[in-house]
Amino acid sequence: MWSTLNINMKNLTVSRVPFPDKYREMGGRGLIAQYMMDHVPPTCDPLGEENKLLICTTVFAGTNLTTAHRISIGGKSPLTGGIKESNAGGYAANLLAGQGIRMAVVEGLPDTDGLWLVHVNAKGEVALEDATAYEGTNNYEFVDKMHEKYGKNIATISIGSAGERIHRIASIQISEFGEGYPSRAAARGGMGSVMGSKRLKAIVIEKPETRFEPEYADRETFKAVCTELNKVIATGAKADPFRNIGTIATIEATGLSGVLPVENFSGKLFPEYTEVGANKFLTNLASRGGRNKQICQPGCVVKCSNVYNDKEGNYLTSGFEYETIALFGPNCRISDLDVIARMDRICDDCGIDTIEVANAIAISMEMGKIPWGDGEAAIGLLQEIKDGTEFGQLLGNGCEVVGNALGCKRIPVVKHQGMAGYDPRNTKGTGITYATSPQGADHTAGLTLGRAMADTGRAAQGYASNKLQVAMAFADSMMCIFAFANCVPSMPLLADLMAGLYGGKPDITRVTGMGVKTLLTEKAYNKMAGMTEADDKIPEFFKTEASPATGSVFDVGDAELACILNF
Amino acid sequence: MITSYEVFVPALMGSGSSLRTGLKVRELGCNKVLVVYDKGLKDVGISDKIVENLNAARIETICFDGVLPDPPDIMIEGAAELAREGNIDGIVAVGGGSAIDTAKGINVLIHNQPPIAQYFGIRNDLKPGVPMVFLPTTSGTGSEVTNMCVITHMATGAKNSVTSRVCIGSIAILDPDLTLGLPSQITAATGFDAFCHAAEALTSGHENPLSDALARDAIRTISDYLPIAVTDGCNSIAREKMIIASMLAGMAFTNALVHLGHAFGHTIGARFHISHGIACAVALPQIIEFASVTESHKVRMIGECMDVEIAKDATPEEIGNLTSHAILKLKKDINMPTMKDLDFTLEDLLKIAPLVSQDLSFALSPRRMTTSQVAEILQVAYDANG
Amino acid sequence: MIIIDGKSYPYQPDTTVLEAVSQLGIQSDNMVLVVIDGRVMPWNQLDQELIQDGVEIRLLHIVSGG
Repeated sequence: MWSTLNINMKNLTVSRVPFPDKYREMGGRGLIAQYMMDHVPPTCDPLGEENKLLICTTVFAGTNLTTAHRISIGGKSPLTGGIKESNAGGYAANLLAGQGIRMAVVEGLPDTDGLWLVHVNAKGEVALEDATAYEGTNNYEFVDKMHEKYGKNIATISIGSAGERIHRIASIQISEFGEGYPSRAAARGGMGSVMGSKRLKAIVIEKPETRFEPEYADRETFKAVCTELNKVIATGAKADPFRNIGTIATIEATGLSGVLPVENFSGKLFPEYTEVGANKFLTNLASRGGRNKQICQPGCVVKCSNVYNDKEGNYLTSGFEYETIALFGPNCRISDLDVIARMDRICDDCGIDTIEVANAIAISMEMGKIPWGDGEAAIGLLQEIKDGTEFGQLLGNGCEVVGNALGCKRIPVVKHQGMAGYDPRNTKGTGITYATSPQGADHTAGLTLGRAMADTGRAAQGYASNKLQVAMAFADSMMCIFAFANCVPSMPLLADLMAGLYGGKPDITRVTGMGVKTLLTEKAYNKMAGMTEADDKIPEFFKTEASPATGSVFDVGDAELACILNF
Repeated sequence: MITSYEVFVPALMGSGSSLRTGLKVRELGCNKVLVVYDKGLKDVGISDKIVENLNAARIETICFDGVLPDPPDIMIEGAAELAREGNIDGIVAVGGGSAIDTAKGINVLIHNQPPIAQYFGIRNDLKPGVPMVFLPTTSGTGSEVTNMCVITHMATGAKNSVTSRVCIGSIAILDPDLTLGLPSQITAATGFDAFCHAAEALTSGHENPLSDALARDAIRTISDYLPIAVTDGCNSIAREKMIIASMLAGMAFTNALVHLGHAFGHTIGARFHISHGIACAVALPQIIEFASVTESHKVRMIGECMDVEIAKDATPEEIGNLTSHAILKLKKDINMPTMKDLDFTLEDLLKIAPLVSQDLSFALSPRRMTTSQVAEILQVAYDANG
Repeated sequence: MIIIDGKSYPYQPDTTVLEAVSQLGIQSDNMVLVVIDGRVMPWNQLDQELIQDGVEIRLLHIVSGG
């Protein structure tokens, strides 16, 4: 029987209780949505007593479905003021499942000063331990210390100094399978600050002596379908640029079309994008002993991760992704991949969302605080976050805060959350997703690039956004969306898996219904939290400033946006 | 907004223009053409006249008279085999949308391997075919000027389309004389199909100034002349106006696309086995009213082209309401079958609501519609008994 | 011989990469990356490069984003 790990930071207790039957067929984003609706008042202070930090795995936790051990972290976001689900790869979900833990709920605020961590040992015993020795320790050093203390067969879920300082864009870092680098980020929406507000430094999970096995309604059917689906995904992944290169390959599609953000979303082209593109990346990997085609969790057949070394061949960063490269790179007019890799490392280390802070740096450049393209100056700003300077504090609270402080009129946020590496004028469906997703400006909620008709046109973009938002909502409850993208031709098999694991009929509406229900629950939660249609808007400058690359403006009207998530 | 107008087919128009078919085919450099038509056209002698005209211009002809309505893919594949064996270097289609779409399908398979079903969708990668000349005898599908052909995939029973440069004709010959004998009911149904093309092209959210201009003219013309063509089929002026209006509507929609009217129309037509024009007509008034929320300025154009007086400060809802009533009136004026005539029960109609969203045209709606809104629209359409 | 997506094709001198890829019916598509001997080449440069005997070309399809 699955357990919930209840971590009560007011009482300073941790205990395992049975995982509620009502959430039996839920996981990931869907579980977070329902749990939040049931247990967390929408009007609560995100950094207060009543907010909870939820950590869970997918509906297929404990099985052999590839990428089933994706970790979802949720709660009320101090950044957006609404519901947040932020997911990541890494090893932690696999070990939580191995320990029989389907979900961890962190609640309450401690009455006393202190810092704690939760430790789950190889026998499955759980303890809340004093972590004051690690106060101010950033993630890389923290993980090293955990390896010294508990060995390498562990996974960590931790915050760095940014989370401890309760920065609204603080991430929660998850250690990768293998070397254990804390480079997988549950980055969006400031969940690290919620964890920090509860004075929880980390959850450290040891590999269990005996791995928990879920109960199957029909084990044989599940196994057979799972084998088939894993094969389908592996076959698709063979031709997937994410496997063959890495997510950086996306820049080869966005760099020429005006979708790649350049110079704080000016809409211009940046011919130097090739300096931070796939070929440069592959050359640097090959010549420095770096690696791509890496897994971040056991059993992944997509293998999109990487290890990126510096000029001397020493480890610099891992999980080096398109969003970070696009937004620290061309969006800041920086064309040095090594500088960007250093920035990625700093962000993972102090635990901060690269998308948010990169947008903040671009705004800082636009307002003349540092020059465009000055990588060292940008690194200097990140150092200010680490050092906790006055400007560092601003940066740590997101690009909207920085933009307002510097008097910038061009702040690319929706629901206060910074946009990802896709200019909404040149991929309008993605812009529609940014505007209407309950998660804020979240590209993973429904990236429509290449899906509908012309990306710069209006035709079918609303349709594509709607369909993708539903798909991503259930995919984020089941597996990594990169694996999901490769299983779309065999999607009915997901219904077979649900039936094999949970019983009942193999009905695809059980799967798609998960997506619709999740979206509607999130929308309802946000409404109760005080959000209105006014929050479903793209910033004005995207509507008035034509992208010089294409001449396009974001011209999807409010009336059209208002019905995107009608079902 | 940046828009584009890309699909353009040269046209020859006017009474007697079909007598230049042979000359035009010659000009295109063809020596041996496949002539595509249905048995009905043979029976009324129209196809023989075209074949004679071609032969007189010293163009060799192979005839395919097996065109079926809602062209089945296997029929097209058989005809394409005939075309390849005959080493033809041109195709002439004479007839309604089915004949023209058959010709287009054959053209897809001249240099691309069958089956044709593998090419459904928007295809920029097909090898070019041979020149095609289209002579519509209905007014109409507008297929003579579009870049798509609608085919029935017999294995699944579903209709789908191939949209490609290979489906674009080299010239359209619009001779109203070929439409003089068209029966009243078919005149009404095909004429209303053209109206739907124009109305949907205007409100698609994907429109452009050229399509808008073409669609407006089509709507004005159809409003004025379709009722006459229906009641007086021998009226050559009405027939001339209608064949041009149908072409204009086709030119408009092939660039600006259709949306909900055709999503409903395809679904209703497939489920109840009624003709395309009648099926698209079922819910059009209500759909235009729905679209008015986001496209009121375009819905106003539809209304004003139908001589509806719309106040300058009318709200989108008022504009939608007035225009939808005008469309309802047009349907009555051309004796379009009512719900009662079509023998639908409300229950039957509502059952198709979830299927409407499966049609590709649904994706192009300017304003997202939920399945329950589809059902509401069907209910309102049923109650209006239009 | 040249290899495209694991399949062998005869090598024809004076053939551009674009011609080699187009013979498979594939046209310029932003969502398809053409990788020649491990190097990504933009579509607008494919007609400027002649294929060499033994070249390996892969066509990678972007299906997701992140």
